[in-house]
Amino acid sequence: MLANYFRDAQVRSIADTLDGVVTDYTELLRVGKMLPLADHQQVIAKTHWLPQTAVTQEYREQTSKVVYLVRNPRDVILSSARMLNIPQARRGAFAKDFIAHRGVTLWSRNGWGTWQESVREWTSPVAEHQHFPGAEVLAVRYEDLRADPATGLGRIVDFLGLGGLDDKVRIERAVESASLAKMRELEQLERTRGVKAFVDAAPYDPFVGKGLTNQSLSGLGEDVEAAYRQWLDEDEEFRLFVKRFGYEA
Amino acid sequence: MPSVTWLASYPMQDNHWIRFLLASYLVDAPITSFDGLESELPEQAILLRRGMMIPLNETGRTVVETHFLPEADVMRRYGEITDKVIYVTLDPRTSMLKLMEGLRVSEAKRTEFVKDFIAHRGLSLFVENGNGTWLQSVRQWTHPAAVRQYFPHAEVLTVRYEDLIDDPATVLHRMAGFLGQGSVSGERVGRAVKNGSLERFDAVKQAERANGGSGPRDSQRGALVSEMSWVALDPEADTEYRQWLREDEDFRLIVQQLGYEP
Repeated sequence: MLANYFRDAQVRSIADTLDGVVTDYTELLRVGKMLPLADHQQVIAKTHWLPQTAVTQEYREQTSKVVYLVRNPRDVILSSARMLNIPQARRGAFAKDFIAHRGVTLWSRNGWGTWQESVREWTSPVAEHQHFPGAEVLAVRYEDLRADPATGLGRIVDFLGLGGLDDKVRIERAVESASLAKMRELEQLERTRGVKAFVDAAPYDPFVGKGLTNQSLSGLGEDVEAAYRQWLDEDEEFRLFVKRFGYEA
Repeated sequence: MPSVTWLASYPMQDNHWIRFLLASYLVDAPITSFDGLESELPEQAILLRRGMMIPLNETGRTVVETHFLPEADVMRRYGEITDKVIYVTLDPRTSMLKLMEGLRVSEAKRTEFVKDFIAHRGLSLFVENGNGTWLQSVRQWTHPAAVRQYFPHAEVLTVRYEDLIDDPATVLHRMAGFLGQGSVSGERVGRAVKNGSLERFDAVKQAERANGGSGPRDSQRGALVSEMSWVALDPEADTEYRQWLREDEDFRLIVQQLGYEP
């Protein structure tokens, strides 16, 4: 959505964005590139890594703003299971593993941290100042962005100094170009590009889901919901974050 | 003073096994897991995926596997501290076969895959990934003038994968001598060949998978391609390959120099 706004046109593929102002840092490194700071005055990079990881600290001094997107952990659990292609029959076990490890173990190992480590390190003023001394932070709830994407995007572009709420038509265009239906079309295209054209595709759950919010875990079993509630009871920091972002219900 | 030695190659040619073999020599002990392999001789792409830069050894050498071209952004910081490069080559035809095996290209699409590889001078995915074409990879990593452009102080040793398979002890001895860790002990090389054998590598890979890990994504067999052969492909594939050799002088010279003539 942000890339669409900045370009005022729809992004057609991940590769399209790699040399651009709004880019995916993980993808850049995967293809051996660093952020294109020499080519642009301002670069906006998406990342899942914790701010203290070596690749993120490369930009410690240059980082001026952070937009942190937070989502209800219950939805994160369900969305992760779908994104990781976990079979339906094993999603309950996956959810319990997520709760036990406070996140996806593979992601922790990849430097993304647990759910609460990510929230803490990116949004707590003390931690944030330690990682990026010159940065301001805006935390945005995914649920608010889903409920009213135009207002959410307006806040973000305003915070980033890219324009603002007054550019409503452009914001509407960016929102429309980033609808879930259009994102799914892009995903389909990505799955048939390059080497994938030579390989018989295996069945998969789409990466772009339905964007559901505030779901219950009971569908995975009452024991999963009970484990989640126990996490809330036992982990004070988690409980505080959940409360701070309005995910208590 | 820290230094970096690259174990470089074009992707997906049993690189993890070669890394396993060299790491077995460097630690002079059996490697029992992929985490162990990562800590002894990391792969740059895996480090980056985990949000890490190369953990330099402040008092000595760090050996790192890579498939990126020397010109890639992520290599720049290591330009001055790169002291050695071991580059592993593979006959481009075998490279295509291994890729088809590793990527599970369906039988019906193999000729099309070979034609696409030849048309793009390599797998287009690898070009997008910063690994370059087959020719760019070999040239940038093995031609002294090209290497010095990116790594002014580096020496290069080129190793043929085929020789490594035929006689691992002799080739590993050369690699160890090149790394210059004092005089090379034949006994230590022998232990490394045993500890770093393809069979042991496959066993570690199987154990990792049994424990829920995905293991490295090399070709399935772990040895020179045995399930596919170049001559079994549609003759059109070989015709296209010979045309590439005729039309591309740089490619022809490098293929000749490496002994991969038809």
